[in-house]
Amino acid sequence: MTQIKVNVNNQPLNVIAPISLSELIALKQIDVDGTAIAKNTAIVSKREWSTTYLNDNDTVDIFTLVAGG
Amino acid sequence: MHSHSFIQPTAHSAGQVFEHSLNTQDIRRYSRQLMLDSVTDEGQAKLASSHAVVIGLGGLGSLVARYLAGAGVGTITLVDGDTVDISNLQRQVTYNEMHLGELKAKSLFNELRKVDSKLNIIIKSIYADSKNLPTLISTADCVLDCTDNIETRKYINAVTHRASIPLFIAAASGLRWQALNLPQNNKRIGCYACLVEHIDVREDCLSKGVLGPVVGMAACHQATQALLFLAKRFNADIKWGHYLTGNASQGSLQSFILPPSSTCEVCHDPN
Repeated sequence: MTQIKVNVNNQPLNVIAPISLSELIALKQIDVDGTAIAKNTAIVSKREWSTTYLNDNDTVDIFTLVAGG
Repeated sequence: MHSHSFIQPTAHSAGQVFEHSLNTQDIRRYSRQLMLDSVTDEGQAKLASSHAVVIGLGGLGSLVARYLAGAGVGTITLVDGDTVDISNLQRQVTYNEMHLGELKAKSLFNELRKVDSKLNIIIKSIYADSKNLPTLISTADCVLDCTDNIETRKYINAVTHRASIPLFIAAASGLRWQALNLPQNNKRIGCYACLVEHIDVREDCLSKGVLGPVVGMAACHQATQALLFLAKRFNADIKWGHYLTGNASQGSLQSFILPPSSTCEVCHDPN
């Protein structure tokens, strides 16, 4: 197990690797409804959250999709 | 062929060179945008020969249509089956108390006519759905998704992708706005279905509320992108396939790449 430093929504976060996007969401206790995630500025399909792992210095942006107009 | 008369193009087919001349009135009307390298007189001719379909005439669409009309987009189709309600006036700035109870498409038609009586404005006072969308967009140079619900947005994405018609999407809720330009013919770029695949998108103006200017910010971005595209087509200096997220309270803007999903039902091509 290795501790890595990632940046989540512009906030530094130390986590223990390996950690997937799904595990990060659970760790942060974020509601997954309507949530999208970008890793290093590329959006990751929700289907791939559980198989997408974070590396040291990765940037993660978690945001809610909106549909109103 | 449309009825715009201020520029006399020699051809209307996409991609062909236009010969045109602007009269004094046209030069005055469009002087501020003719100065821009991203428009010029050639781009102005392209705008005049363009057909934009605006789907949804609420906070996004009513403002988008006003900007397209002001900029001289020759043919604009307005699609919405809704009527003007007093709860709309907080953010749908093209309407006022005189329009209450009227069909939005009809009200907006009348307002855009006051801006430029020569524009060809087509009104469709119906809600877009999977059945009528193919016909509604069949002659469009671009489509602007200004709707307020996820299901219609998915239909619009699927139909424009099948027809390879560029799609400009915007959305807003609360103090956030988001936008996406889709060329709909580039395999390296995902589509709206890739974005929302397996995601339960719930945030709309009805459930979460919205501040009027925030919808306006989304609409202004969306109209800008569509105008730049229509003036220069695929030579336009705009970003395709980048999902833009704006936070109006923080004044922040982020851009994310949208890759194609290998399981997307709309755009994935196993070949």
